[in-house]
Amino acid sequence: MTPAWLKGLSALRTEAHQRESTGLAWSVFIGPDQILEAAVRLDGEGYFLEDVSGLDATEGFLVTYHFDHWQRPGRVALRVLLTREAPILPSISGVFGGAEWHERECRDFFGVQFEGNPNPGALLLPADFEIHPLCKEAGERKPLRELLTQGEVIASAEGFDLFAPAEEPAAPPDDAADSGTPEEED
Amino acid sequence: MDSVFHQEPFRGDYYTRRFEPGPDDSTLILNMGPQHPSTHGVLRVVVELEGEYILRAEPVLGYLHRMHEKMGETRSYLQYMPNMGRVDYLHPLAWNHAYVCAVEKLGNIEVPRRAEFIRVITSELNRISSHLLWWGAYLLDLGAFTPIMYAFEERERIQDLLQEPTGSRLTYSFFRPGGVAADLSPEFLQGVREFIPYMRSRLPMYKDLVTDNIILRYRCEEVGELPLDMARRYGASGPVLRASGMAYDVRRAEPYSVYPELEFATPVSQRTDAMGRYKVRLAEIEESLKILEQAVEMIPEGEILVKGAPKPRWKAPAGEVYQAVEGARGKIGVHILSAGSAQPYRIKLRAPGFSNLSLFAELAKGTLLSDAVSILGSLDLVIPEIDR
Amino acid sequence: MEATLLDPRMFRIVAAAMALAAFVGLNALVLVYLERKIAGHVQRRPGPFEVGPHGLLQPLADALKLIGKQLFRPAGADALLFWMAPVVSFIPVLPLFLPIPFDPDLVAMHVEPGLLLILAFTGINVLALCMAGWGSNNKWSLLGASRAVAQSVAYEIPLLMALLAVTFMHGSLNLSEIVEAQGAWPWQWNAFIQPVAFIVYFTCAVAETNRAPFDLPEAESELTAGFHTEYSGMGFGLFFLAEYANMIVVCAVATALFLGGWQGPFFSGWWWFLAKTYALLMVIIWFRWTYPRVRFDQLLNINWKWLLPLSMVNLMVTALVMKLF
Repeated sequence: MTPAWLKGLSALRTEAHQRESTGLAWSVFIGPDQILEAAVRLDGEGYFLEDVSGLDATEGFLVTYHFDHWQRPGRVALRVLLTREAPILPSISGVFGGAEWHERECRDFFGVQFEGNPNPGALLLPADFEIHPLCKEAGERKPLRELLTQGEVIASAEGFDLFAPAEEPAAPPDDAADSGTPEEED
Repeated sequence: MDSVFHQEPFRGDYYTRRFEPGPDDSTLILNMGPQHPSTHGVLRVVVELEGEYILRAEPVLGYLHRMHEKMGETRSYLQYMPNMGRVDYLHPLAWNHAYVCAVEKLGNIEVPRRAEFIRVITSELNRISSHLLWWGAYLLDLGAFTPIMYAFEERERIQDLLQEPTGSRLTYSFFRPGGVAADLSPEFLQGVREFIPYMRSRLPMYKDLVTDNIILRYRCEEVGELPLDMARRYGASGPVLRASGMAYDVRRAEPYSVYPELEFATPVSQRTDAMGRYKVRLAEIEESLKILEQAVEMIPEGEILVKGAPKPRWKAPAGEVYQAVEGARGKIGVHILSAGSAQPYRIKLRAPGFSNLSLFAELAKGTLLSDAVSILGSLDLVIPEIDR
Repeated sequence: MEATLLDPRMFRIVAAAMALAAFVGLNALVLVYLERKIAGHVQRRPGPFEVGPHGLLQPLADALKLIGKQLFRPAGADALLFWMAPVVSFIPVLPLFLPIPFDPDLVAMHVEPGLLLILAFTGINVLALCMAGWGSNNKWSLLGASRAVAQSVAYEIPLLMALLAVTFMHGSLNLSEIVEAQGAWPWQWNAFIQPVAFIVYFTCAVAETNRAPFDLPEAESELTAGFHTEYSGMGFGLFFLAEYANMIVVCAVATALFLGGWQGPFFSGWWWFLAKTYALLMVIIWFRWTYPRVRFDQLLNINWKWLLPLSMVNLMVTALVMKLF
């Protein structure tokens, strides 16, 4: 059953999860332009922001927003995939004030820029620190389909192929350069 | 004044510069911390004062940042356990619990029933000791020197108990994926049984001596009022949230371990102010005692570590897992992404204090400096957890 | 008239000043010990125990440590104000003791308006705090000093009014005369004839000496250490001495004006005076280790809304009663 806030949101892919296995209830891939809209809808539903977490994967930076609800517990993970060249996202700190710090932490660790954050400087790291410590070396990155547990797919937009089976090694050329040898690495 | 400290390299860091006063020079920019008696460790707050009223405040973090999340990516699942004792040194067993539950979910590991009870008993004892330390330190912030000594007397008894199975007194790293590191002895359980009535007999004294004191009430009541909606926007949790009137407790909302089998209430206060947070925490001590009372009777015999529990070189199956538990300060979250190797690919720690502190700037606006100290104390901050 | 050292009156003053300096110093040592021991027992621990039997030599060790420490002035501080402040804080302490009658004969100087002398010299302390706060070039010190000024000015008024009620009754500012006018037994003491004045005076005295719960100017959990944040060694030591000496003075004045001074039910003498003074001192110490600190606006509210009207009403009633009977 699709929740009300999800209807009408142009999500790229919607998955329903079992709380017992992943701790999530919903996992929704959306585009960077949809995040503000999604945050406003979740705010209207009475959700609160748990954290904003980054991830450096083969395909780029995956920023995950975790939301939860007091009366109707069920974690919502909003996922936004950003390219490595332009990791820019609109800030949702206007909707959820607490997002300001979470976004700044994400900026510190991954170098993701949040446009519209009232105080876009460093939070945990020194202001003049150039290194983003959680970014991986090119050879260490793994593709998202190896990292994310997939739930029951409710809807998937046309052309969204992150989780397409990896039989044919016809990944886009820029990704192929990055991914190296994902299987035998460890 | 044209001293060397006003020239460029010494002119203060990013935050001090951001806080440059405007054309109106009747305000005072004051740097509270990182060495200040009531910022509890190394928190720094830059405030702009008009007289003693705070016009704006901004917490500055990072003085105790250790990059636990990066450490997680370079250590094996078992090697990361000691880190969980050092994120929040006041309630480390909650972080232990969050982490091992996450790893167990990831690896589909069964936990023996006795181990679950051991986790609950030690974790609740630890919660009481955390609240006791908060109580003492908060009153120290308000200028009462004595209560912390009383609180430490009780806390010492808890530490004396916990040091036996865990082997340490502060930074516990006691749980293991699949169970716990050591069994509880009959003497330990007897010690807990004796501690419960002792602690109960002390709580009325706390109330008579401190809670009902008129000066304390005037320092806490109607100070730092946090409306429920604001708590939601900032993602507040734990006693800070419950004092704003929302009975949200992860132990009930997302049950884990054997908590569903135990009877306990979720203390709530509608006061929304510092006094509400104070009362919720004291009530939580009583609830934890109730849990302990039941758990020491219900604990079964049996294994404490499941057979086939992760070994040091254990490789977790690939996948994602998010585990939340209720710590003394609120909702602790551990988010692990595994690529199937011996180290997590990414581990994200959600610290409750981080969100709770982020609302301070808005809460402190327009209050007196003394109130700001009271508000900071009532949020129960543990800086290592916030900075991670 | 030429005053030389051989002049018996001059000699008396010099001898008295030396005796008083010794008295103040010794008392500070005793009070430090008492404070730490009482704090210890309030907090269910033994207090100092290592230096000497039962920690008796601890205050000496503390004093030696303070004397041995480097005197340090922060960059940008006003050297003159910074170093004068502790001295200005300590110097008025000696004249404060001059008119205090420990015994009918044990008075350093029989001053007719003795009370006036004491009140005049206690006022200087706030000036010292102000100098320390401004001269330190430290924002915490400045905040502490501004608190000290507001607090001292406010609390001096009800304090004066409470004392005025007593002097109305006896028609004298001479402490010895006021003591003699009271009897040996507790119900003959002014504390029982003027309970409101006594309570107002004692509350104000705690506030005037910046002791908890009214220790706002130094409030270490808010202002790190308030006006003496930047002082080390004996700079701090003098403030410390002055604070303890001021505590003794306010308690001695309370003893003389309200508790019958040296007069006691049996064996009147200076020991009664000291016993009563120390009883009051212990109450002040006991306050400190029991109560949280009040907030600054609450502190001023207590003064302007409660103590001041109360002391005024008390003064008027006293005047009315004196006129009618």
